[in-house]
Formats: sequence, structure tokens, C-alpha cells
Amino acid sequence: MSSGSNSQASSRGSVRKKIGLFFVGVTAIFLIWTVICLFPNASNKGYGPTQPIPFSHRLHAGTHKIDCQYCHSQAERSQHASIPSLNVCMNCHSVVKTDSPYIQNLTKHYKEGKPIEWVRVHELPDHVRFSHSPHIRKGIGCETCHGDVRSMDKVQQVGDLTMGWCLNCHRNRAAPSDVIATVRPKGMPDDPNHKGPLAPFSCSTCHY
Amino acid sequence: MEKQNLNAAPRHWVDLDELTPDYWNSAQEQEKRGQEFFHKPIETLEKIEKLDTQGIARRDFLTLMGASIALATAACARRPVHKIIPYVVKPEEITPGVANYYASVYPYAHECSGLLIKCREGRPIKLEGNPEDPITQGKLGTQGQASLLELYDPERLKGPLKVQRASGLTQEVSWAQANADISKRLRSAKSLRVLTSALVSNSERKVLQDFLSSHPGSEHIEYDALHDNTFAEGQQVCFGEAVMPEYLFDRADLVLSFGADFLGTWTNAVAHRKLWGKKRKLASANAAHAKMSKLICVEPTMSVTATNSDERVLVASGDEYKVALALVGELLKGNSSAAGSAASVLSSYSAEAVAKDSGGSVTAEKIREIAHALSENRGKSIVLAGGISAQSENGLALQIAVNWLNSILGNEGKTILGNRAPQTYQVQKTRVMKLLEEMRAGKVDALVIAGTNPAYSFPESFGFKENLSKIGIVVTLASHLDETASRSDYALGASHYLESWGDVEVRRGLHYIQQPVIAPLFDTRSLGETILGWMEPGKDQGMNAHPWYDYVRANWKAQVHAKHGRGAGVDDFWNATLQKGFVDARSSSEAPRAFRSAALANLTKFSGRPVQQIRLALYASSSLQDGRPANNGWLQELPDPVSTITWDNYLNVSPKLAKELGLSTNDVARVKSGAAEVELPVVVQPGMHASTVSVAVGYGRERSGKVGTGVGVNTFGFREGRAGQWVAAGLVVAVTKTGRRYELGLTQNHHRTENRPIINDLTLSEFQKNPGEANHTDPHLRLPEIKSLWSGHKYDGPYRWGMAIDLSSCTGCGACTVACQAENNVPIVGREGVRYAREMHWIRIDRYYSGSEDNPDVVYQPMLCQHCENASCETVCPVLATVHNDEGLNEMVYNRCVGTRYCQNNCPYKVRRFNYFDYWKNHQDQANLVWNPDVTVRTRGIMEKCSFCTQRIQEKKLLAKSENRLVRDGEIITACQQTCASEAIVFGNLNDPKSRVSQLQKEAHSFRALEILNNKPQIAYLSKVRNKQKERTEHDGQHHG
Repeated sequence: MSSGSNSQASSRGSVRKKIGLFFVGVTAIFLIWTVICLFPNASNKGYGPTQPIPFSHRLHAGTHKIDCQYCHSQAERSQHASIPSLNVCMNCHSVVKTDSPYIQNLTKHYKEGKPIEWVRVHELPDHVRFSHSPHIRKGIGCETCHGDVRSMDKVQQVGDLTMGWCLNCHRNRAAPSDVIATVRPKGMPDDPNHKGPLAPFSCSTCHY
Repeated sequence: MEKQNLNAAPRHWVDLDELTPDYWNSAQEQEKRGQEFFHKPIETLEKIEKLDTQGIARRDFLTLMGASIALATAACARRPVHKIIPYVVKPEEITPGVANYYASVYPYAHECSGLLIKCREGRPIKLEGNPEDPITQGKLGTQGQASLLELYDPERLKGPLKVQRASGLTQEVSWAQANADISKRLRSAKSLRVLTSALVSNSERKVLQDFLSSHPGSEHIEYDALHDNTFAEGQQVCFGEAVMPEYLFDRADLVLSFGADFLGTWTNAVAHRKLWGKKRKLASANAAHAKMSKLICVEPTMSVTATNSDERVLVASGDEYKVALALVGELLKGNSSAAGSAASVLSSYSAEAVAKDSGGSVTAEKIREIAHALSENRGKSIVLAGGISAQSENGLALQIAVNWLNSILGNEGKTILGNRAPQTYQVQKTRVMKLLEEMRAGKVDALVIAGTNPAYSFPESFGFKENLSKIGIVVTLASHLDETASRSDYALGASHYLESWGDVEVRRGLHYIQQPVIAPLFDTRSLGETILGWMEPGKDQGMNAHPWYDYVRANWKAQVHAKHGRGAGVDDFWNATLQKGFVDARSSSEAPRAFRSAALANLTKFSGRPVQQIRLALYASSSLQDGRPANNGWLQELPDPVSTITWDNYLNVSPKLAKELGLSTNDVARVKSGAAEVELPVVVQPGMHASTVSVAVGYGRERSGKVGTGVGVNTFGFREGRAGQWVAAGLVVAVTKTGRRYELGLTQNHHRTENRPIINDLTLSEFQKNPGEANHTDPHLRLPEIKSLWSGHKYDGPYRWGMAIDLSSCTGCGACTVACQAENNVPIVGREGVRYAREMHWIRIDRYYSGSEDNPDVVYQPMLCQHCENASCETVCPVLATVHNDEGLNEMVYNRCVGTRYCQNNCPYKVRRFNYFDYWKNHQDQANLVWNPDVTVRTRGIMEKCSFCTQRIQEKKLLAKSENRLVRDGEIITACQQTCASEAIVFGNLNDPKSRVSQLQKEAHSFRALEILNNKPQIAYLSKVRNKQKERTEHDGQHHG
């Protein structure tokens, strides 16, 4: 595309560029291989970031046995389970444990009207639409996907949250028996070993 | 079976070219069809490089991208860290992920509909009609649907600006500063004038009165560019009061329209479509006794209404009144005393005389035939005239003749109600002309303008712009820094109607509350708030003071609660109304209005013009109307229903005149009248009167925004003020060829079906004889059962989704296209993109002509993904990105799509759309807020198409599941169906034999598009039936050899 005296220089430049690109390509293939070996299903399983306030689910849901939906109250109605707003925390913490520096931090946020920026743990890709509501309404326990949060100080991702993992239940390939027992559709034989789809698995169930 | 003759011109044609013999077989056409980009310029590689990568050559860039993706994956096995930021105190009514619906109103005098506004997380994302609204019954028009985008327009005025009129420099000021200065200067003005659009809110009217009463010598004037002054004057003269009566098309068996585009751009078109549609639906069960209304149009242009007519009589623009008077004469024959003072006038407009003057387009027999039909439908017919294209020199005579016809026929009080809930419809022009006169004389000291754009819409000859300099202070409240605002001393940012309070009464007794669904995005105020600020400039509104809300409520209490509260407490009544959206306190009187024979004095023998002279008729654009929403890309890119042109206005010329002048489509012609001269691209429009040309107003905005500025040509300049009339039609013009060419964004040639018969139409008499396939226009539309290679799908679940579309009641208005755009995040591609056939609409309206090019029949066909059982797209997708599901949906999985476009090429309906670029990036700043969070925003390289609103299906299915039941019939409503005023679209479950859609699909006159291909669509069309007694013409027959 260039003309005149620049053409030689630029053709030399493009050779150099091509060699450079070749090495980049080789490195890329090597790295892709490494990634494939390290993360066979590209899942974020095990991810458990540090949160701005070290909220402990073990203490709240485990020791004090507060119901999941006391705080994640929208899970039954909405696609999002939602992180509770600060006023829900303050329902108790306006009187409970007010001497803790974390609670004081929380109270400060509340009084100043500044929300806390929690780090998201469970996240599906943008092209996936998942709704909590039908799963909760069918009686599937939170721990089926989220693991035993009651024992976690710091919440970690336990499930794969990959498409194959979702379909395992929907198609009833490797659904836990308690799930089968809960969601067995009408008319399905009362046999726990029965293999047949438990839930819709057409593409547009989740992708639109 | 008869073999199709491919050499013959098709019975239904899209383009005039197709009428040339052997068109589809010509070498050039075959070449064209073989090459995707035969006509279209391909972007040079250079251009693509610039667009994508800013400097790096594309191929190198792709290589590097490959590497960097790999690197990115390796370096960041953790996905990007996202934050979740919950509310501090969650508002009780908001559940993230669940939509709230609020009732409000689309508050314009031209088109007023009750609204149901869908809000997600506090922002409105979709507007729908309020199903409880007694007038529009849940339907919303094109502009209403698109008005959502205007809320998020990042180019809106963001607060008050002080403008230096000489230099045009602007300076941001605060409301307090602006109000203090403005109110001081307005108070010292001796003669203050307030120019607004027609006010629809009682509180606005009252606060303005309060304000003006403290300013002696002040006056309020209303002005809308498309206000039908001639119509209003006709009502005033004939019935004593200027109102827009209710037209009950559902009670009319015969509708005779003189240029009134009541299904398209005229006032209250949504209500009209709704009622008209009710009379256009046929059931084959009792076909022998089937009935439908008949629509006859007498007009020179191809308006949306004209294309829906059963019969069309062509008259030159400005001569409509002659036909109307001839009809009066025919109906009063043998009863000369009834004609009163107008007897001599009538005698000079006898059927014969009118026919002779018309140059052959009208015959005396036709006039008698129409007169006979009218006299057979006394009390069951509607005669109407209106719109800008009926505002000729003799427009008032036409109005009087039409009103006279209605009273002769006894339609008043039966099909036309002027007393139940009429709309106050003043004659605006008298006071406007007075204002212009005062301005010329320098008698106006201060001018406040709100909601109207006179600097754009007044013709130069009115002298508005030049006389503005004689005014001491000009204040404009406008949404944009438009032509008027930029010539003012203060340009104040106006709030969108979704951001402000109001109490709207357009039809008497129907009181809506307009409630804000979002806090103002910018520092803007509504008219009421602004005026309150001027009345008490010292006391400006704080964060928690809502003086305008208090004012509206107080006014509501005094005006509505006191009269219609029925003993309920004020708060209860207010809250109940807010929830419902309106109070229906219309009068039940159906009393007819008395026709004042004194009006006939206005009828004299008019000086006619020879029919050979070329005349110009202005008309309102179906999308832009008066040009106010010019910066709305959804409307700019909506193809005109008739010409299918986007992003421009153009000169419609009949094929005959085009031949005479040597013009063809895309030629630029110069149009010159006494008042104006412009250059416009030409469109050869079948069905235009031979000596009439027409052009849309609303284009050519000079200051609108990135989208609207400089689109098309301003043609308001052709409007003339003549003897107290504003003349916009029947203007004598000279049309000359310039020799230049201009490529219009014309969509009619995109997505063609390769001359395969796709439309079925028949006349009512044929339908009555046999609605079934024997009468189908084209035998190839129907196939007997044939063997299939495919094993077929099983739909053994409870659902199988399908649709039925009634071609008889589809008016082609295009509201569905905009509704779909809003619901499904469909982007716009711009004029250039349209020229390359890259428009993204998921549902388009195909327009087909049949018959002669001078006066063709028109049929509209909404075309969207047919969700075929044997889908051509599914079999060619190499990555299974498009697959069939067990509920009959043809699914499009965006994340699998790699953009081969095989599916698009293989789709016989051409309904798949490819994202050539990241069009979504056109949504800058606040414009992003308009996206529907339930639908993926597609990126470049992705194929997309109609999903049958799968997000709506999903939502209702989950709801039904949680209530342990099946989805009810009519529970899932697609976006297109929801807004379709004539209810041409029905969606539902085909597995339920009792559902409406199943019933409709079983109708004898239903057919599937391109059935010959055995694609088995899930959509059935109901054949277009026209109320014509005539059997098929010889013209139709000759093509089936």
C-alpha cells in the first residue's frame, strides 16, 4: 500500500513483523495448551475472593441458623437472588455487635448512604439467562448449586457453573437423588433410577 | 397442476421494473441475483481497517488478536472481577430483575394514548398501551412506541442555557439565575406572547392563565405545524364548535375519505385503526354471509389509508372538493330545496362537469356509483376529509361539503359523535397570523415558546425568523437546542413526558394522570414547573419541594375529584386513578349535531385550475410527522409504509409524469413554486395522480442532533398563506430534472422472494363463494401433502408456538417494527447501512402492488421469522447456532454463531439479520439505558432474527409453572402483537386446539408463505380480502398462462 522510497523499508519491516507474529503464534499455542491442561472445563470452581467486610455465612446461616431467604429474599420471586440491601443488615446490627469495627464500618456506610461494593462470586457469562425463582419454587435447595455455604467463612464457588453441569440435572444424567425426588415431573415413573429429562433443555431456555 | 410461467410479469410486484416482460429472466437480473453486492458499494479494505483497528492492517490485527486472546486467557484464568452493589435502603416496590408497570399517558393532542410503562430497576424500558384505555384499548402508535428513545437522547438540552442571539454562543446558567432574569424582563414587557403547542394538560393551561393574568396585555397562542386548521374551521362553520368528533369506524359499512389519512398520519390514528380493523376481519365458517366495511379513497397521493382502500378514485390535488360537491348534488337530486343557497354552486359541479374537468381520472358513472353506495348506507357510513394534503385553496369548501354529506346521510350521531367525548380542536391559524402580524409591526416585547418549533416549521414568507430580532426577549422551552431555541435569549431544557407530572384531558371527560416514571435525567423542567418558577422566582424548588406536583394535585382535586370523585377521599381517588391511569367521565350523549345551513354561504363557484398543471401536495411523514422527533433513529430508519424509504423525504411522481419529464427513481429534481424552491430525489410512485407530485414535511431539520440534522429537505416552505388559508396542497409547481442522482435508502428491493408467489388476495365476492384454496390467487401457494425427507418434529409437550397474521386488517403502519425494535434491542444502521441492505429490523412490512401501475391495489405483509419446521437455515448452520426446539421455535443461539451467514443466504423469507458492525455502540451515554435487560445486546459478527419474543414466552411459562398451571391463551403477547392497533397479529399455542391462533390457522383462507418450498412455517397468513364486487380483471389473468 505504501509507495516510492518507503516501499523497501516497509517490506523489510513487514518481514520482521511476520517473524514476530510467528513467535507470538507459537507462544499462544503453547499457552492455550497450558490453559486447557490447567482448567479442563474453564470453570471458576473454587473462586472465593476477599470481601470488603468479612461477612461469615458460617456464623449467620450455620451457627445462628438464619434462613438463606431472610437476606436473599428475592430468590423466590426474581431471577436474581440479590445481595441484601444495607437496611436488612441494620435490622439486627443496629443493636447486635455494635462494638465490632466491621459493624461500625457497616453502620458508617449505612449512615452515609454509601453502598458496599461486594465482589461477585457466582457469575454466569452474559449470554446465559438463569433465574433463581423457578429453581427455588421447585424446591431445589440452595446448597445443590452453591454447596454447603453454612460451613463457609468466606464464600467459594463450589459448583462448576458450566453448561454441561447445568444440563446434567436438566437432562437427568447426573442429577443428585434429592433433586430428582423434588422435581420429578408429573407422570414420570416413581423410580429414582429413572433416566429422562427433568427440566427443559432447549437452547432458548437459557440463551436469548 | 398448472405450471408457473416464470417469464410472465408477477401478479404481485414490488418494483415497476418487474412489469417489463421477462424481467426475472433477463441476463442483467440473473447477474444481479447471482451477486450479493451487484448494486452495492463494498467498503474498501481501507475503510474497514479504519473502522476496526485505527491504523493496524486488518489481517495483522486478526493475527494479533488470536494471540492476545490466548494470552488474555492464560494471564487471567479468573474472569474479570465484577462488583455487586446493593441498595443502601431498597425501595419497597423495586425487586431487581422483576419489572414494574406504571400507568400514564402519551400526552399529545395529535395522538393521545393511555400508557402502561414497563420499568426495570427504576428506568422505563418499554411503552405499551394501557389495555383499560377506553379509546386506544392497549394500543400505541409508531411515535408513541419510539418516544422512549427520546427520553434517553444524550443530545437533549441538559439545563437552562443563555444564548447570545447574534453569535449563537451559549452559556450554562442555573434555573435560579435564569428564572430571576426572565421573570424580571417578562414583567417589564408591555406585550407578552406565549406560543405553545396545543396544551393537553388542564393544570398547564391553568398555571399559564394564572401567570398571564398577572401580565396585562399578554396572550397565549397555540401552534402545531400539522394542526388541521381547515378541518377545525369546517367544524366551526358547520356545527358551531371546532371539535374533532369521534369517528366510529366499527359502526360504518362504508367509509369515504377525501385525502384524510385516518389510518396513517391523521389525528387519533391508533383509535381509528382499532375500530376500522374490527370491520375488516372475516371468518370462513359463515363465508356466504361474510361482511366487511368498504373504504373508498378520493385522493391524488398514495397515503397509508389510500393503500388500504378497496377502491380509489384519483383526482388532482386540490380538486377533491369537486367530487364531494358532485356527490352532494347526486344525493340531493330531485330535492333542490334542500340545497338552499348552494343550489347554483351544486349545479356547476354536476357529475358530468366534474368528470370533464378531471381529465379522465374520474367518471360520472363512478360518482353516481359512490353516491348510490352512500345512499344505501345512510347512518352506516362515514365521509371524512382532512390532513395537510387536503388543505388546498378550497379545503374549506371540501370540509363543508363533507360535513354536509354526513348530515344528509344521517351519519351525525350514528357513526360520527360530536357530543360524547370530542376533542377540543381549535382553529389555531387566526391567532398565529395575528401574532406574526404583531411581530412584523414590532408590537411584541416578549415571546415565550414551548413545545413547538416555529423557526423550523413556518415558511420563510411568514417572516417569523427575521421578525424575532424585533422582540426584546425570547425564551424557548425545548428538548433540544433546535432552530427556535438557538434563536432565543434563553434555551431552557424541557423534561420528557416520562419525567414530569400532568393531568391530561384530550377528549372531554377522559382524564388521564401523567405520572413520571423516572426522575429527570438532566436538570430539566416541564412547562408547568418552569412557569411556577417564574411566578415565584425567589422561591426556587429545593430537592424535596415539588410545587408542580402539588399544583397538579390541587387542580385535580378541584376539577376532577370534586365532580367525579363519587365521595371517595382525595388521596384514595388520586391513588386509584394513578393505578388505573385515568378517570372515565365521558358523556354518554350520542345526540347528533345540527348542520348549520349558514355554512353553505362559504360555497361559491371556485376558480379552478387546469388539471394538466403539475400540482404539489404536502403530506405528513408516517414516521417523523411534523419533524419534532427528527433525532430519533428508530423513526428515521422506519421504512415509509408505501415507498419503503428510510432516512429521507423525496418527491413522489407518477409513472406517467416521470416518463414525460424523463425522471426515474433516485434522480434529483428541482421543484419550484411561487414560495419556495428545493431539490429533491425522485421516487416513481405507482398510484399517484398523473399531474400531482407530493413530498413529505418533517424533514430537513437544521438543528436537531447527530441523527436528525440535515436529513432530507425542509418542505414546509411550500406552505402558503393565502386569503386567510394556509395552503399546503394543490400548489402549482414546476418540476425540472437536474441531472444529478442521489441514492435513497430504499428497502423495497432488499430481501426479495425471487418472484415466488407469496401473497394471496381475493375479493369479498370470491370469498363469499369459496374462501378456500380454489379462490386462492395463485395455486402454487398451496401444496398437497408431499413426502418429506425429514422425519418431522414432535411437539409432545403442552406447547407449540405459532402465529396468525390477518392481511385484511394489517394497515402497514409500521408500529410493530418499532415495538419490536424497543423490545428486542434492535439497532439502527444509518442511511448508508440501509443502502447496503443491512437494516436490522426483525419484522418488516413488505408492500406488494397488483394491477395497473396507474392505480394499483396494495397489500401489506408483515414478514418475520416464520419459525419453519423444516427450516432452511437450520440445515446449513455449521455450528448448530440455529436449531429447532420442542415447542416449535427456531432458536438463535448468539454465543454459538460464528457469522458464516449461510443461514441468511438460505432463508427463503430473508428475515435473518447480520451485525456487520457493533451497531449497539451507536447508543452512547444515556442511550444505553434503553436496552431491554432481558434480551442480549448483539455484537458484531452475529446473526439475529425474530425470536417470537422468547423472553416473554419464558417469563409467562415460569409464571404458569410457579402457579402450577399451563399458560393461558392470550397470556403471552409478543411485542408486535401488543401494539398492533388493528389486531392483525395473533400469537399463541398451536397445541391447544381451542386457542385463537389454532382457530385462525384453520380458517379456509389461511395460507403459509412459500408453501411450495415445504418449509412448514409456524405462521399462517389470512388472505387479503378486498371489498370489491368486481371479479378478477383480465390484467390479472394474463400472467397465468
